[in-house]
Amino acid sequence: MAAATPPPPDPSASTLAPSVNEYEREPVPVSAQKGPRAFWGMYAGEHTAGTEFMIGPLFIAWGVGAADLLLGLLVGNLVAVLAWRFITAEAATGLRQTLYYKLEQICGRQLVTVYNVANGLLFCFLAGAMVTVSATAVGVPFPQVQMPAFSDTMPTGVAWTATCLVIGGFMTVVAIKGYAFVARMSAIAAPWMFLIFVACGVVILKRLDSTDLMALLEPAPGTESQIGFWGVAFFSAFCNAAMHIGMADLSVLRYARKPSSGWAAAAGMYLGHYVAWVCAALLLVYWVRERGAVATEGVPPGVMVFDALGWAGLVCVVIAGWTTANPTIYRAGLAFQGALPKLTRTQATLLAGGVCTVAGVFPAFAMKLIGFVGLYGTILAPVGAVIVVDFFFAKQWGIPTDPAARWRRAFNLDVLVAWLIPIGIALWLMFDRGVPAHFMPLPCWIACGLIYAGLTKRSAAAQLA
Amino acid sequence: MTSLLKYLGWLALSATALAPVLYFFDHLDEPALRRILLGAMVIWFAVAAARDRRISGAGD
Repeated sequence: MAAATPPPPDPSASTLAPSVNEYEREPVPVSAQKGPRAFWGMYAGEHTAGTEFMIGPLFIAWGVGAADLLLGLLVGNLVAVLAWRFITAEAATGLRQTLYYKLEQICGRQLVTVYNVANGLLFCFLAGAMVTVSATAVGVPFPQVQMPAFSDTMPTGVAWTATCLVIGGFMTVVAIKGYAFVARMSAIAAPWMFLIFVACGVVILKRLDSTDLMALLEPAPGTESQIGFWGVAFFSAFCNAAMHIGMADLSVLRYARKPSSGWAAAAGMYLGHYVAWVCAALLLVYWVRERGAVATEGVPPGVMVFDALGWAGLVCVVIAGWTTANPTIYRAGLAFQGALPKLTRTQATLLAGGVCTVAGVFPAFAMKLIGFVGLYGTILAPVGAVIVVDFFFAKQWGIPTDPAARWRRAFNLDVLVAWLIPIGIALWLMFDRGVPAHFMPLPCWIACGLIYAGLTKRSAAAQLA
Repeated sequence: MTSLLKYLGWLALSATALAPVLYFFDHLDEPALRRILLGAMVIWFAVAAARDRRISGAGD
């Protein structure tokens, strides 16, 4: 994308639909709208990523019970699909605008810049987790690379650091030079990667000589349970909170002919966030039961997948990390470019790639992925509530729509207050009171919407007076 | 040519799906499973890349 001039580019643009960067300042015309088929494939591909190799085993490390995992994922993913269908897709097909354009009308351009910085940084850390996952695969043939355990937060040595720097550097260069190639590569790899996840599960069931998932997924004796049904349900429902209730997928679903295309999210949730997570979880179950691994310490995903499937598995871990990290770096670059318009796209992507690579060196982001994803949703999702109030409830509640555009404000303080108060309380609950991060996105989202509605009503009354 | 590539692609994906099942039912041993998965992977990416190039008109 060409550099530098407003409007801010759209970092949430889909990797698999090249045309989503168009119509950034106007509603998507009927001729550019797409049927549901395009969205089913896109969601299935986007949610079978490198990080799935971490999340499944992390549930096992957290001592989840079998029924809690299987039922929690069923319920949580259903909630996520319903959010995509009845909130995101309804708003997207009603507005047919990008998240950023709509936010600009509600929040003002300067506040959108603040959102862009937060978004860009969190994208970088997420991409950093994918660099870490890929490094656990690249490091397998090199015994001098000391792999991190689930409890590691700092780099494990010079060889590990060098591996991450090389992978992160490569991903950054590709993000600068060949984004279109990576987007196509991602689409090509998606069905194969899903089958590799399933193959992992089947091979492990054979090795464990059982198909009794309920018995296999029971926590190992002595493992303290840190997550139950509600934890799994909330995590799976809101690990993509920024995308559905946070409205980032407005940018994608605005191309849908009908809101029913929102059902396509089910492909991503039930293939990627159910089947792939359970298959990945089985890998650690095997290592705990048969190889004596300590569940809480875990085993690096590259090592487990190579052991199960050989080189094809190893390549899958690298490609899964690469194809998801690259667009994430690209999106982070666009977000930074939106915040710092003097940067060229290359400079912005370099900045994003640099932050991502440094983050990847630290295993904390990958090894604490469940917590990080919750934090990510807690910070970004509440902004979506502002759009929900504006689109669904403004007329009913007597609130003006698009207040920043209406009152010609570059910075809508009402939105900032509504955004920061719930986040501040949530961060205190997380870091001081130890409340798990995955419980936070929903209450923050609801609180942000209600505070915004109250403050905007007050501002509207002040405008009239 | 396009049909042949399509056929080969499906064949590679089918092999990726079926090999673990055959392994599960003791019709394949683990080294054979790994060889099939590796071969299917090479074919799938080669074919998909070739098809992608044909569809997009030219490679990049």
